[in-house]
Amino acid sequence: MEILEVKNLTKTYGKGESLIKAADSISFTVPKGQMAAVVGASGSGKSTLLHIIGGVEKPESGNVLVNGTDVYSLSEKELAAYRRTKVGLIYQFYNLLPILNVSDNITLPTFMDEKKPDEKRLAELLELLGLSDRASHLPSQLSGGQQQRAAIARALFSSPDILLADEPTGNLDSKSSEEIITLLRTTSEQLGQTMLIVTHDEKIAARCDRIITVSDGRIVGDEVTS
Amino acid sequence: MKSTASLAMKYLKYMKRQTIFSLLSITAAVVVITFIFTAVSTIFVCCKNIEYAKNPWHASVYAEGFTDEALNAVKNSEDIENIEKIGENNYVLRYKTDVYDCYKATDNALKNAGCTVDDYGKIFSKTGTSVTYYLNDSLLFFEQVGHIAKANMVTLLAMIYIVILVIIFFGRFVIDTAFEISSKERSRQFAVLRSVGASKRHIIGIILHESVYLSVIAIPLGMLLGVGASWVVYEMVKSAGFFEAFAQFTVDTSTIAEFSVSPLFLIIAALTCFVWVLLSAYATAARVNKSSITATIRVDAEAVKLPKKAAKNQKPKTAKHITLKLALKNVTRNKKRFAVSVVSISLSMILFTSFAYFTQTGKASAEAFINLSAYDFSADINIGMIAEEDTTIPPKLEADLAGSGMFTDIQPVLYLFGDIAEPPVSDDASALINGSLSCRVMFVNENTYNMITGSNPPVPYQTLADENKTVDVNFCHIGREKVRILDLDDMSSVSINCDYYEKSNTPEYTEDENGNKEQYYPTVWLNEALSFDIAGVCDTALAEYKSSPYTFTLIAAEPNTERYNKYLSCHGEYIHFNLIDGADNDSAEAVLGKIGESYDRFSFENYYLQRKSANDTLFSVKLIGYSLIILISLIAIINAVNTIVTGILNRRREFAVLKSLGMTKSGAVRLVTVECALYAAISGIIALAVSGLLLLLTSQSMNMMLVDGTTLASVVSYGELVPYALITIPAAFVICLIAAVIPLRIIGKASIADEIRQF
Repeated sequence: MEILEVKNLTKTYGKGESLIKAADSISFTVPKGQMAAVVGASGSGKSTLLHIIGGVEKPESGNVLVNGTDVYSLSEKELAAYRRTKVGLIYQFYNLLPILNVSDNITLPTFMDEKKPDEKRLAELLELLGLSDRASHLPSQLSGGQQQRAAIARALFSSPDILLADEPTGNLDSKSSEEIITLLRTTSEQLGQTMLIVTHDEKIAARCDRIITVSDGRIVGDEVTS
Repeated sequence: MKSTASLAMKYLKYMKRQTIFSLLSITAAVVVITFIFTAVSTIFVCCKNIEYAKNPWHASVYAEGFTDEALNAVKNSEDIENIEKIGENNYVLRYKTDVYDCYKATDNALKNAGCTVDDYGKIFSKTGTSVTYYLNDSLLFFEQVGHIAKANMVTLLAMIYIVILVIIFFGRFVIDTAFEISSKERSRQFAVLRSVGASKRHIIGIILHESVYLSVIAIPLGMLLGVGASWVVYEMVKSAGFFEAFAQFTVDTSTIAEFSVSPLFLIIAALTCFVWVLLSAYATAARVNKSSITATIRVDAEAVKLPKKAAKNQKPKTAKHITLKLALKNVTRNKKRFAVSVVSISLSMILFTSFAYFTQTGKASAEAFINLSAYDFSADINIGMIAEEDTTIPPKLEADLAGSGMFTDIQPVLYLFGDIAEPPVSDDASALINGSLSCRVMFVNENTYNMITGSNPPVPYQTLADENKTVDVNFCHIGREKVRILDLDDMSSVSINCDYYEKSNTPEYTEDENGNKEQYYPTVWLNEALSFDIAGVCDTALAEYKSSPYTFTLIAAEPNTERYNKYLSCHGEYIHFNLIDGADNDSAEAVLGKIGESYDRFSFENYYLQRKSANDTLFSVKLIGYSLIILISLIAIINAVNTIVTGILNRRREFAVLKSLGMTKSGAVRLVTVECALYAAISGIIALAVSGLLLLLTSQSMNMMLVDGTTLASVVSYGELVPYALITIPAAFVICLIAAVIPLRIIGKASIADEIRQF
């Protein structure tokens, strides 16, 4: 079953000579539970693609269907709800809110929905991501790896249809990078979580089920790894 | 709602510096607004008290033949609270507070007393004599009795409120800037919130909740401080004798001075502030929601902008050159931040300049008003006479005054009786006052003129002629009749068309009831064109001639004593002198009375109390003005400091990177010094232009205001105000520099690595 369908996405920046095609009629699908990597050189349009799927950057044309829902046919309010519940975003620089402790950061999307956070789910994620003893710590009291694990937990907390990670290990040392990619792999396998990971790192790409290669806003390679 | 409220509270707790700055900004704005509202309330109450102290009744009735029965009938009328007899056929009454139409109420009450009304609405008493009454509109207005008073009050309050709104408009920028800067610091955090699902409503909710929490603290605090500041100013004004001057010594001031805090005004002030805070918060939230999530989240968002053209090969720069270049790039690369900072600092400068200007103008106008409409305040006491006979001041009089030991600065002066500055009375007259130089013509006996000034006038006529100056001429009096200047073209003489009267040489006769004839010499009005040579020109520096604030006084000397006495007899000589410091005015009056017995042809005029009250009024004007300037300056400084501090702290990461590349602390200080100088210079130019425009507009509007025929603008020197505007540039530079160096020191204490990692 295809959880993500991307159809003819187009997105450009700049004008005239400085025109950059970040997405040039990109189309692909991702089945449920697949862990896919998007690779490519800097400026090839990987992050833009991720942001468009994540509902934070509008395409000029094309469609993004997540679990059958056309993301950009949603109203502003529905799009915000989509970001809260259907998709989980992980950034290179973690982007945790410094004013909230780890637990509050993880439950933030639920908090926005005025719902009581699922304590059991929180405990499970903290346990899974090795943050049980850091739950009440502020982001500034954590290492880079720990902050990124908290960001992953936040992305997973709403059990999103798809988890999107933009260079999740780009700001980490090799040991922490290894921990994070193992964690993502484990999560994908244990929870059946669909993931799309933008990365430069070939080792990380090799751990994914599929590698989509992007260049100048177009898909130039799409292979399933062994 | 719960989530946004909770997050807002967390932000306020976490971001202590921004919270304190926002609190200070809102508090400062509220202080000013409360101060103004409390001042208005206090002035209203004091005016009411003064009116009540003078005339504690609403209407005065003159009715002949009113009996006790009629009086009771009036008293028992529906809208009448009380009526009292204060003299023969004179009565005063007070209405009930809920009366609608005072005229109708009075008419009805008089009808109840048996009075009749004819077809023209004229009222007659039972005896057939006309009954008249008039309303004490001032007291009715201040006590808010009757619909006319209420309507007038609403109109006045609306006008005051518009003026206050204009002031608040400037205050709002302070609040707006505080929210804008605070939200800019958190722009990435808001973008993250939006990326994890926060809707626009959530963002608006968070910022609005913050504004509500801040208001809960800042508005009561600001109001408390505002009321406190008003009370301090009130006490100072009171002790300065302002109320005595205001009431012109007619009533007991202990009953009129009353500090008033109107709950209604406070509620209006609080609501106004709260609405502004909410508007600022909403506008900020709207700006946050408009920004792109991805662009804001990207750490190096500012650095990814590609140059349009490849840079040409450039020569290596010196260290100073690089600092300047870097500073220039820093102030201009983020155009929004640059615009916010420049607008914010410019507004601070405009606020200061404008209020300094208004204070200066207010002071000068008050002085001008007093000079134009009141007495000659160049000295406490005048002794003089109408120069119908001998105008010479006896030397013995001077000696007697000096010998009393109570007076000082005794000097002979020329003095013009009556108020010569009158509004133009015809179109022809207005054509005479379109020049660039104001003057009056003072006619003096040549001998007197020479005695006092010597033969050389302070500013010779030739000087004026060489400078090609034109002369404004107002109507003035000669022999207490209006005259008109006919010709000043060559400026060497002045021609006047003089109406005067004299007794006819031809006798006439009247006849009484018994047919007896009586001879008399009738008064004959004559008109004669007279010319006088201009002997000299006095400028205002010559204080003894400055009985009104004209720029120049032409001296038209008349050598012919007979003609002088005939036509110009209302002018005379005076002795001006002051009470010595600490002398008692009552004792001085007694001494003057005793001296006066020997000089009965002279009049003794003691202006000591009026002069004191005028000076007290001026002091109060200055006090209120400078208090406002201090408050406005505080707002302006908070605004500028907030802008700069936040701007620098927003660049923590950038400074850390520069430090990691080898920039020293002094290098960083040099960089911000250049930036602050650029901000101050650019803001200063904008502020000067805007302030200049404001000054020009105000000056133009003042030109339209006439007091006794003279525009107030002519006595307010435009040039004196320029230093106020110019002083803001170095002041802004120093304030910005201090505001920049403090956060730099804070940044300097943190580790470079932490700062670079800083979210």
